[in-house]
Amino acid sequence: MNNKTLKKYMSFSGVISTLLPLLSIALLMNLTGFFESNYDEYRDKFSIELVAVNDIDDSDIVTITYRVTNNSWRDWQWINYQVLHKNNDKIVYSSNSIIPDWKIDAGEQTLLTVEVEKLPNITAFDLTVQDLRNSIRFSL
Amino acid sequence: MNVVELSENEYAVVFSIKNNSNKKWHDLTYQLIGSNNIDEVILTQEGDDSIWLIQPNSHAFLTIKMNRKPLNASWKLLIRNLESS
Repeated sequence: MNNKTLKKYMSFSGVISTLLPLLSIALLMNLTGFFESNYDEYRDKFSIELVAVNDIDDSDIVTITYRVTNNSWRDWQWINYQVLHKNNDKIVYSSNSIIPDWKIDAGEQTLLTVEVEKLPNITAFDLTVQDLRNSIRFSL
Repeated sequence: MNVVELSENEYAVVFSIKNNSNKKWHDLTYQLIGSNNIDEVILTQEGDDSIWLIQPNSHAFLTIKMNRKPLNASWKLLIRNLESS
């Protein structure tokens, strides 16, 4: 091995020996969920507005579209929501569901369309986001 | 708690549940107990809900469907188990 090759090798091994502890720390932080955030801490950063209710006569299902605004600086995905079916102010039914593929970017608005059971005498549908997932978990 | 008639022979009880803890609770297992007006138990119904969850220091609603008309009954929800995270 000549001097030039040896210098290159030493330089490479120097980079590796510097990066390895940093990567190990990052990996440990990742495994312990350090980079994950809890939706509960960001609940007040979201707003929800009803856009449309599609109640087809022959269908057993009502399709409702909401506009969701994410005022947080994080991207979110995998929504767990609850829809309250109301007759005036009385809550007559609640339904929970999950849409794994739903996503909303930081500072953005996006639509959320949900399907609920059609019930008699319902005058309003209120949607509450129960949980969202935010994760920048690295996969190796 | 509200009891509602959804359709013929289909009823539901809606409970409001408050979480006063600092933990998120999910994976609910419960027992619904219906009693008549002299406190005799006339119906019990077991159930679970893996989608339902409640954030810390918040409230959520839980709807349980029944195939029996709840005449002269009072209802109690026993939470058998919850997972926390």
